[in-house]
Amino acid sequence: MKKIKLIIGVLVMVVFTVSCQKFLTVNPKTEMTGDALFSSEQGFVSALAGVYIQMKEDAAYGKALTMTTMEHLISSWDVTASTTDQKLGLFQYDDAGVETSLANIFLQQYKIIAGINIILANVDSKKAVFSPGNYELIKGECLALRAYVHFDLLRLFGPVPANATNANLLAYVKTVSKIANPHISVDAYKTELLNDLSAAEALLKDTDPFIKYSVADFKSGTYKSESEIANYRYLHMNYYAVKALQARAYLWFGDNSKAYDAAKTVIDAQNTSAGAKFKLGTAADFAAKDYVLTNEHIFALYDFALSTKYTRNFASGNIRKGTNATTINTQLYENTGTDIREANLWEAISQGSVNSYILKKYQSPDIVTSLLEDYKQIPLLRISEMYFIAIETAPDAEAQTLWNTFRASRNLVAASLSTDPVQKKLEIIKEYRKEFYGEGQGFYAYKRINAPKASIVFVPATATVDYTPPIPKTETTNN
Amino acid sequence: MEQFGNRNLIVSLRNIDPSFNIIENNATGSDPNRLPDIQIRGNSSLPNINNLDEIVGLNTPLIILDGFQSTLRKMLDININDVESVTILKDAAATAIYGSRGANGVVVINTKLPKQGALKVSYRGDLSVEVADLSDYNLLGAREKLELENKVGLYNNPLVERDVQLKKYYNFLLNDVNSGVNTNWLEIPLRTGVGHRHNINLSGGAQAFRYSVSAQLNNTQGVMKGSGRNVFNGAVNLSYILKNVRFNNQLMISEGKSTESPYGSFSDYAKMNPYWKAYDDKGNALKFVGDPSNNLFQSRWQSLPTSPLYNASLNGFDKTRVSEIINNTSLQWSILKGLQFRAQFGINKLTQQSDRFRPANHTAFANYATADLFRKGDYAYGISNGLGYDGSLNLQYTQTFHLKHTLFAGVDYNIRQSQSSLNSFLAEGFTNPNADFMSMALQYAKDQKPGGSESLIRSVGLTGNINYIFDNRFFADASIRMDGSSQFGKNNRIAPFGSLGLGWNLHNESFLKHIKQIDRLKLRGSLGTTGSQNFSAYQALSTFQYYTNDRYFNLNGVYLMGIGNDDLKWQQTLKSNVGIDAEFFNSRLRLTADYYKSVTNNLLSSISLPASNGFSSYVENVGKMSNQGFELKTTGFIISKPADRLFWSMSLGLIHNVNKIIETSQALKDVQKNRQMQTGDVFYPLFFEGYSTTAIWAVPSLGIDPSNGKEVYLDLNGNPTYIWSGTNLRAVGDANPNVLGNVSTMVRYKSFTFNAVFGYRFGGQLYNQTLISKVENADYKYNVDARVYDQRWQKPGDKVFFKGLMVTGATSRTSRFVQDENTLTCQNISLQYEPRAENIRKLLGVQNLLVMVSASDPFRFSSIRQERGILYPFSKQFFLSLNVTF
Repeated sequence: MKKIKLIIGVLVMVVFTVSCQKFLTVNPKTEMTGDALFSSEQGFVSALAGVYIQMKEDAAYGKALTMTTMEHLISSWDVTASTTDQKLGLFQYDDAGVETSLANIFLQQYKIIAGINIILANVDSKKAVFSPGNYELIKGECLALRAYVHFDLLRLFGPVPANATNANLLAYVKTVSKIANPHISVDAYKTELLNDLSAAEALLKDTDPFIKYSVADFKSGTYKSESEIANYRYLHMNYYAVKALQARAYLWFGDNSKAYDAAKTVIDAQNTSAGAKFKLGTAADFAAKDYVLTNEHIFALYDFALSTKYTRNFASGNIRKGTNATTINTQLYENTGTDIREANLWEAISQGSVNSYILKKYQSPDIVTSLLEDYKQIPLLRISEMYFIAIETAPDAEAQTLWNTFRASRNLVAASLSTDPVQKKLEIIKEYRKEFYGEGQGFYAYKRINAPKASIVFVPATATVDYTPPIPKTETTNN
Repeated sequence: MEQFGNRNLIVSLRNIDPSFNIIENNATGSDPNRLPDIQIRGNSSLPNINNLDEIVGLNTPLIILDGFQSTLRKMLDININDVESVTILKDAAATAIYGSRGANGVVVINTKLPKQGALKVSYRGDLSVEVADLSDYNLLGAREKLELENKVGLYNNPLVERDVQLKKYYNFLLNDVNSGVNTNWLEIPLRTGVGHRHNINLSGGAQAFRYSVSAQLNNTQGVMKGSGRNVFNGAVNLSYILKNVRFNNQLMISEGKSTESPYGSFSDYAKMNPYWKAYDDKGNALKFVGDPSNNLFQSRWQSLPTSPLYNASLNGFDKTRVSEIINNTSLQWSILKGLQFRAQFGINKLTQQSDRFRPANHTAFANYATADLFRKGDYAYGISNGLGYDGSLNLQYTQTFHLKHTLFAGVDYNIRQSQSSLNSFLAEGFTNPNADFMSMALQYAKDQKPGGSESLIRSVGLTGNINYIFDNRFFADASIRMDGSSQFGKNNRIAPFGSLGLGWNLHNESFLKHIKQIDRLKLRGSLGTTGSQNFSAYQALSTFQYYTNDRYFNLNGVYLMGIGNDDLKWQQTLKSNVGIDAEFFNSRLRLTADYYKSVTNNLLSSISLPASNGFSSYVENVGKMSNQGFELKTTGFIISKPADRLFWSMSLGLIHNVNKIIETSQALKDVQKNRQMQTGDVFYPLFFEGYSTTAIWAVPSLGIDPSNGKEVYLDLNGNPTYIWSGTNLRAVGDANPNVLGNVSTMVRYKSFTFNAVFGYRFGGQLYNQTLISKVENADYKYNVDARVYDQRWQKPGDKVFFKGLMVTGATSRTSRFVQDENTLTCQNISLQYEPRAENIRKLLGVQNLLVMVSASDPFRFSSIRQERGILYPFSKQFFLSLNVTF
């Protein structure tokens, strides 16, 4: 009797414990667990697409980091008194509204990073699910995107490079977990960032179809891969974007020769069918209504809603600079009269009694018949910036040649570039401001050289320039 | 049971045992289609940051029907005549065997097993009459309302041409009032609901094979016109006994249909101005009210207000159909003397379909633009399916040794799965007013996609329990249960629960045995842990979701919804209980008293993360809450004369519970800051450490300053101020009463039995919502509480309760509107006539006859005057019942 009981007991226990874990593992239908998602290449591609979607959201590069918050910091737009927008321009970082808008950027950026990290956490163990080359593409893109986003966090919240303290400021996050991430020094941060970029470079160098094929090849369908990840590489964090980001980062960290090498790689990049991979925009592009100069894009985010966004924010007059051309032409472009940007990129509109001078950069037809006419792109890296980097870091003669090339493309008369490094930098910074108006790069440009107030175009007289916003409380108080 | 109420099982149970506490819902009143909120011994769970208003659902007790988990809805619809017994389990010893599910208490319902004997047929019929209870509504009449509007300046305008228009419009309305218009809008959507219920039961069988079949039709008609619930219940119960094996199968089907009143929400009628006509001269419902048939109204209304009554005249509907099939099979095998094996398997299938149709001329579409003309009229359709399995194996062993030692041991293995899904969509564009069929829609709703949700929960449990009785004097029992559920993190899915109980029958001790007056005196105590499962199915998982409305150029994307928690574990409630059961004087006085304390640990709550983790929070076990209190139930037979067949008994039930939040997460604190600072007539429960979940948070008020009609508040430092701020909120009361319970009495004389149950609540407070939303923050455009008219501050020196009529700015949560609530409700009164069986048999040829009249909630006294039943009024119900057995 006792034996029987014992046997029954043992059997029940065995059944209970063994079958339990499996039985108790459930898979939701409207959601997916990580195990289910990352069991196929398609899952990885979808996760990566999710990262790009999050990048193009308004809280990140879809608006705050390109068109609004970052531009308000350097007073690119007209503002109403005592709004958050105005306080951003006055560098009033203790204002609640300013704090919230910067904290939202901070959280969104790390949310993007979490999305990248969850892919990287699975990509090595699931290497077998990929068709040839795609493992490298996905992993490379993820590593490079992680560096891209982290770098922008550093440029915004980190110290001015010139007087960099080595305080532990930001976390370079490489895992997804509920454990708080350690804040590391700028040096350690830099090492992590550059490591991610070199790892990405090594992975993409031989696999990225962008090396062989041109943007036109992707657009026209001359190159069409079975793997969706290999198509439309100009909309992905591709090999050249890695090089371009390296150029940008080395310049920030003061390693001019490496910055020069990287920038030159991108400038000199040729398509197999000859011709430069990325061309400086000219009057012809503006004539074709390609205001955002897609030929210059090394890496851009595609945004379906860009025309709607343009209508709602720019064409409505919500985002404007002045009521007519005067402010922009005199203060920004210095009344050259020839600059194609001055002549084409802006428009005076009036709604009822309200006149506005608006930026047309993001104007693009909503419906197009050919991808070649589809300009709904938000540029994150452009060839003109590579020219600027090379001009700043190249020997004087070469710098002058590149300067001439750039000025010619913008229909500006040739001018000699100062050989005084400080003067030269200030001259280039002016060009950054003209070139990347509404792209969110101006603030970083000023911050990198710790530009004095006098060099910042449009800075309000009452502002006290402060390039280092504090780390948001959402990071510091919950840590 | 039936003497304690006739509405449904839930209400009857509350009338018998007040610890089964129905939380009165002031919004939904006596809506027959609304499930009540139930709580046993206080709240043991706190809501998380994303569902702060859902505390009630988390604390619903577990309902076990014939050994299987069931639902509150089933309890509402069940055929009371099929119920053999209902037990409410509260303490650790009793609930521990339900382990992870028992923390909120357990209601165990057993249905009748077929009895041996010749074919017996019984019929029971009930007729119910339901009327609305509007005694707490105190609205203005037509003339007073119009005068009030005039007084507050609705008909004045600095622009002369507007002013002239307004004055003309005022005269138009005044003219109507003078001609006798004084519509009582409250009465319009109401009716006297006449419902009926029929029940027939057949049973019989021999020793080896027995059967019972029952059918019930329950038609409830609510007090709002057209609202009702029609439920058919059928059950077939078979049992077969072969030697030492007993096989039992029970099939229950139920088919329910509930309809919502086409008249809509009751609050829409309460706000209608009495000077508006409801019908035109031909007696048709008006679509727009207060229409002067020219543009005079435009200075007062942008577009004329619509009448809710109009929609009721259209052919729209809002109905839900539920069908449920439950089949339970059990096999019982007496292996040896004292050793019994039992296997049980239950299946439960539920289908619920909801249909709501609003034709094109419904007032909801009255303001659609011309371009949207073809979008008028809509049909919302939803279907949900649920399927659950529940199986258990059970081994029991009983043995008595040496006469004095009795041992009972059992092992139980249980496995469960429950799956549910919901799909819904909305179609629009019904141009033909008579087309109420879904396919007649022109299109799906603009910019909308199908909705739905899905959940799958699995759990397993293994229980062992052992009881030991020594000499019928000492009792000891212990149980342990291992429970696993898919809802928790993969590292903590399985958790142990257990309990220990001791009892001592003092009356069997030699030193008390000789005292005749004491029939029973038992001391008992128990200690144990239980858990709670009323949480979302996938909360512990890190899951991804597809972007359904976005993509990246040529790619579809997914995103991580949140950081899961592999370590998420059960919320555990540690319950302790000491009690006494006593009977004196030949059992004429019975007493049961319990003192309990329960502490819930590891409450599930969100934890804030640093922003660099990419998510602002994740779910973790943090937080602690306690409940302690006592329960007392006593019954005394004041008169007991069996010879004269005269009995009179009284009983008293009393409950006192103190709830206290001991610890909450930072995320919960942060998220409540917003709610704390909100102004206006909002009222939220707030959960702060050291206070009860039912605490009322408001700013202390010193009343109205007689000199200017403004309210004076007290800030946190005790200084008076005119400025309201959410930071000064304090716990100024508690909605949970000091004591609640019931008193009942029963008189039986010969064939007549009279029974009355009164419920009481003393020592609690309520935030009087009527005073704020219908008096102080009243929207004068619509009808308001009569107290606006005469009790507000008007001139310096007025010492009044309400602030000045013209003091602008909404009043926010103030202690001025927190009032003591002392309520006595007559829950049920019944009179029953049951003639002696032998007389009946001779006279009518039936075995048994019973006639009963009863009233539920016939009257009520309360120290607080606020509108009750905002969206659906409360009701009084009267029954006539007849029970015959052939």
